[in-house]
Amino acid sequence: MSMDYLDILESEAIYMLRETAAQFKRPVLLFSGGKDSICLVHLCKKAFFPAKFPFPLMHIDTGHNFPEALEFRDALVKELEENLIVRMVEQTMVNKGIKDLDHKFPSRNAFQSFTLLEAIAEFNFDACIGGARRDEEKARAKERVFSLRDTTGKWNPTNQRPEVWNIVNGFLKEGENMRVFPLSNWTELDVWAYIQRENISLPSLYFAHERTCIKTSEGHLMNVNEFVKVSPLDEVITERVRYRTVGDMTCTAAVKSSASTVAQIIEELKISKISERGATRIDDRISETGMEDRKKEGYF
Amino acid sequence: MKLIRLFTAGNVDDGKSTLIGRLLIDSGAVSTDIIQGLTKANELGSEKSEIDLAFLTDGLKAERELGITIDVAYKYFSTHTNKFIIADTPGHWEYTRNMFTGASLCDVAIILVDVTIGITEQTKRHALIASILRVKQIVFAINKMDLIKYDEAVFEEMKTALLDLSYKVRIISPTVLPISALKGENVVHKSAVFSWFKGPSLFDYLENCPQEKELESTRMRFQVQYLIHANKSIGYAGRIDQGDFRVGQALLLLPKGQNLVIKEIIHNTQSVKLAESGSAVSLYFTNEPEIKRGDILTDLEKPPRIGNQFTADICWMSEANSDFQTNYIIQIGTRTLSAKLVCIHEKRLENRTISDNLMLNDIATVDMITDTEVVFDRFEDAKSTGSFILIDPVLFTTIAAGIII
Repeated sequence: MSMDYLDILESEAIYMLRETAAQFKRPVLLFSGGKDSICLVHLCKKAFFPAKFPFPLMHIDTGHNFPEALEFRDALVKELEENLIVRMVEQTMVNKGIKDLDHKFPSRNAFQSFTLLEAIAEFNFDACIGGARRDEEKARAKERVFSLRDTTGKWNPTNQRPEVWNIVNGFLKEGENMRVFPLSNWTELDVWAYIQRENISLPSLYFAHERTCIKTSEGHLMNVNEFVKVSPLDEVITERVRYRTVGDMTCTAAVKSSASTVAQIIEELKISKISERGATRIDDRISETGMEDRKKEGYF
Repeated sequence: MKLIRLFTAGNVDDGKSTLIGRLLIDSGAVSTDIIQGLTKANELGSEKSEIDLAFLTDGLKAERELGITIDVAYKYFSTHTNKFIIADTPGHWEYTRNMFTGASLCDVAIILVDVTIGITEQTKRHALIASILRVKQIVFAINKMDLIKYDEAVFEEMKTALLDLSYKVRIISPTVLPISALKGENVVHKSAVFSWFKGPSLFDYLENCPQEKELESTRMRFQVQYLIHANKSIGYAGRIDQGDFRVGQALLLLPKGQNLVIKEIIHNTQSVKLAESGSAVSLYFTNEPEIKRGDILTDLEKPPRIGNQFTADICWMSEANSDFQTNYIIQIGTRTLSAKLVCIHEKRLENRTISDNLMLNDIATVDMITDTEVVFDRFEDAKSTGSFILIDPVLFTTIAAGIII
């Protein structure tokens, strides 16, 4: 008998979650209500069964989240009876006197790093588990599963610790912090195959629904909401859409889709010619090294 | 679907990143917006007008500016039968440690050789690392065949030299293929320019690779990773390194030397009778033993060795040289303890004499001594109990990786 590739990916992720629980004093799981972090929660149930999770969940809330994602988050946490910490980006902005960007789609993504670093200091977290995957973006393709952040929260991509076999070095100096990415080797399609196999529920946003959107000049479908400045020149259309990623309402685009089941989404992805973040994130496209620059500043 | 992990290695400019770019694009794994992004990225520094395939994997700003690969990039693609994880490893001598990182988990090594240059020091070094890491399938891809007009005689001559090198570094029956990564010849598709070549394309070769199976051995190994306390009992969580574990089976707990019987196995929240090698499980025992993280459960017939001395092949990964005084932290799987280097036997393949210390990227056979007794295997008997890293006791950086021989 030989393990299926999904069994291998699952086993590897559970191994990393248990290493995190064993090697660190105060880990936390960064939970966004998106599909990747929902999969992480599912993996934690398996990793620590029948006990409760040995760490809390934490959501860095931009205040621009989709209501569907927040509802789902709260329902899931209630069902699990796990501890959820929420820290608001808005609070950081008030404290630091930062104003929302004067932009048509005023993303708060850049400010999330501040709130995250404040929360790490507040709770003294030494490891933050995240759902990032290497196939998402070319800077992430370079990152270790145990990825060190220096005392200022920065990632140093040109001098990473060698990560040999599955031996993960979680030793930290005072003030350093570890980011842990158990889904590093999963692709978008792997995540969906796993959701299908494990019958994992997701926020309704991921499935096809009618939505009123602005169609940008680049063809992105942006949700019309209270944070977005709609001008009379905008092309506002109602389409059948779904979301491939669930981030800030102000910088996450919907994709035109009629896929209303997991199986249909998998079929759609197999023939899609556009990458996940390319289709949906207008913030990565600002510059060629958008993600690397943000990670160097302490981003997830 | 099988999962196959492979890495590409070879000298700088032998075309590693280009080859991966070619594999990804020709097999349809790359999205169109990313290909457009490559064209945009090229305008930043390079004056080349056509898409630079290497930019698919060289994801860091510094890499693009310098035009080299600094760290491993992981890329993924799937076919109907396989999911591939590709580690694109750096060719520069300075980044050998990153190459070692990328190679460590792989089933397949693709070592590129530039046919116009031939075997270099880096070719030898990468072949040696692949051999030390016991990579099961090693392919030498002789690249840039377009530059010598796909000449069979030149290929055969280089093949002979590579088989000779393989013999020296103890690689058994490698595969040698002619390709042109730039032109896409014999990478994904068989090609008319190589009508004289009877072997498969690189892609066909990869498609037919067997998934890594643990060594055909009766040895059972389980390292305790984490203790799960619930319902007044303790589950010993870990991933089965090798062997199939069954309820009712007698095991040996090391280093204590106590005999135990498996009462229950939990796999994915279910109680199961049997769990196979590679599964993440938790084990329960009838007699409530005292077990901690780092303890090892094995079969009774072929248990690991216990002692405080062993010999290992190590790759030194730190800018600071080694010495015989420092108490390094040694991490073997889930165990950490203290260890010293006591003897450097030989530096493998380097044209340097034996000295008193190891320098960055040295590969050497050494003796180590630990402060307390440790359970270990020879790497070829059990990978996870036969491999380790050394950690700097002050800076906590990973400074070496080793294989017990």
